[in-house]
Amino acid sequence: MSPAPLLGEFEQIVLLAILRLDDDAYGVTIRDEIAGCTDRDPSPGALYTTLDRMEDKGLVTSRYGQATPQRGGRAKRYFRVTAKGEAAVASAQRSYQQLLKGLKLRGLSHA
Amino acid sequence: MRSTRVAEWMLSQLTTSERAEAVIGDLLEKVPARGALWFWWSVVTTAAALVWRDVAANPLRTFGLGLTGFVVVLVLFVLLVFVATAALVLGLIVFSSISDAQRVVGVTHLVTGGWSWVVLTVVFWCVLAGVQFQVGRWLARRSPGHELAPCVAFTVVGLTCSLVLVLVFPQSTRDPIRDAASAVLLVVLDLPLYAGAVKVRKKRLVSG
Repeated sequence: MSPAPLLGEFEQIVLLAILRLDDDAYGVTIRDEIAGCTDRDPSPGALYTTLDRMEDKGLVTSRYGQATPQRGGRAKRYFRVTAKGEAAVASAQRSYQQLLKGLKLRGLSHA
Repeated sequence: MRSTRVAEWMLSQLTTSERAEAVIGDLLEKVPARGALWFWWSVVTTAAALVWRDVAANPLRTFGLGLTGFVVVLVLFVLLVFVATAALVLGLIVFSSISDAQRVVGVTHLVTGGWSWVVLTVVFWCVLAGVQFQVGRWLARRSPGHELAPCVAFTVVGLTCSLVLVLVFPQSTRDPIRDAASAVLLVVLDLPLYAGAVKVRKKRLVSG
């Protein structure tokens, strides 16, 4: 099995947001979830280019939903994390945990 | 917002039409809370991010193409100026061989009417726009899937060259407003280049 692809910080954040949203992950909800959990308001450009790149890498898949009048009759593009994406984010988090082990950081409580 | 079709068209030049449609839909959902200005700012920054993604996919090749296109346009521009000057000199030679009465009529017409200069200028810029359009098509054909990226590189090369000229030949009195207007004019003059690239992209998408 090939090793999980390396992820950038923002890619990890986006993948985690999609995983949290489950079946309701599209542009607006992903941005809101990131803003709610991280106090960062990602620019639409950064988010969409990251989503496109992750889809090209096979980390997420997308499908188009129904068009709604609220969106000017435009369809939503829903995202889902693939097994490869899940493995990549798990691997990245394991690395973080390993690096954090034994460290006492101010502002971070340890279990 | 009726003008969202323009925004959608803009983004569809940089990504697939389905993706552009979904992005505009997402932005429209937020318009009631954030306003039209935010919508357009988001469209522009998203377009910039998509262009940058295309350029960053292969920066050396993209800037190589942009530089080649720029040199081609520059050479053709010089040739055009040369041909126009030659035509003018030839005209003057012919003009000097006619009688004084005819010359007076001709000069009066040229100075007071002024239309010949307007026509000459329009023809000159039309030819240049045609050249840029063809160069835009040529660049786009060499960058399938990222048609606009070499055109952006072309514009960046043009702006860099003008900046270098400003630095190499500094003027004692600089007018920042005039400099900014010149930069905007340089970008506007590149529009036929982008039109050529857009045409090639449209053709590629239609042919599948």
